[in-house]
Amino acid sequence: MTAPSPTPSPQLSESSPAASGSPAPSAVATLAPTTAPATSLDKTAAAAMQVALASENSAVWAYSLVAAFDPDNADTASDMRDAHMVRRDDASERLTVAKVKPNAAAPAYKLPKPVTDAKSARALAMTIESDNAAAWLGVVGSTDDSALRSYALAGLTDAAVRLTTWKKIAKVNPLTVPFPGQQGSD
Amino acid sequence: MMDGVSQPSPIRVPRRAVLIGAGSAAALVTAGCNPFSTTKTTRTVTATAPPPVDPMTNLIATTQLHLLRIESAVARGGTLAKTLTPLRDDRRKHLDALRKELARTSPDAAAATSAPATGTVPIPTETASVLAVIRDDAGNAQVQFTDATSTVSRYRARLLASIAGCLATHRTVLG
Repeated sequence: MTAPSPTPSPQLSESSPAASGSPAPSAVATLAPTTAPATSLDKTAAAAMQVALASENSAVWAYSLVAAFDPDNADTASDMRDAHMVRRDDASERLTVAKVKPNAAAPAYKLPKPVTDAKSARALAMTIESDNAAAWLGVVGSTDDSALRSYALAGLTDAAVRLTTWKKIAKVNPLTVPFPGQQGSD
Repeated sequence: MMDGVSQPSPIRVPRRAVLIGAGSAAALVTAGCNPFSTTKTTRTVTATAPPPVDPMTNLIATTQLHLLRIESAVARGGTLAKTLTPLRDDRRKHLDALRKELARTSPDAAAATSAPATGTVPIPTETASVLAVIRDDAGNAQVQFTDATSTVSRYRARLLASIAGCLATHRTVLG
């Protein structure tokens, strides 16, 4: 998927339809919305929210792959997928409330590198979270609405923490990045 | 029969004048003014609000203090140094970025905060206690950066939000 300005381009991109099916939405809710949705969004904020929504959609899709190739951490991957689902649904609702039609998820996404084993699955998980942090940071910088900023910051923070969790699992050092979501920080 | 004395004609007040007078009286009453009152008038003066404080100087001061504490812990070597060195490196980068951002908009304020952080900050002797103190520092700083994110420009918001996200990961690392 091509990310509009001002957010950096995520590394996961939509692939052609019919590659595989999108996972069914889950009823599990791990993250409650923190703020009431705004009833309007300007063009910049709406575009950034669409990028964040696309990032959530790709994360939900990709975590199924991570869980399949890293059975030792399948529960962790499943929890993280659920968290992305909740935020995806919430982001979609926020766009709808603001009278912006949320972009639909792609049926499948192109991976930056093939996933063939646990190591490559963990690398994919780290890519997902780096992209996700960048997408939510894009929303923070797209608006003067403090409630939307807080909401986006929560998304950024969650992604940064999940990235660190995967680095711990994959024994990648350093475990942290100084500026999550900023290009070149990871 | 008429007595021949003519009746004085009534004074005619124009309707518009009556309406204006009644309206003025109503306005005075509505405003809480009594034109016949003998009590002294109290005049309320609203004090001018102080100029808004730039959160950057506080955020720089917080980062400097926490950095000194981490450096003191790293200086002990061993496990503390191994765990905290990457976090110290992050906080140094935060401090540099914050100073650069302040210098971009307020060179005078930046000059006042550009002195290198020196000195020692007392830290507990137990390793677990040191880690707990530094974890608390990260938590407090995360709150400060999160709060500040909502009040600054978009450009600054990106920087502060990213640092807040990083501080959350520090708390995760310090468990």
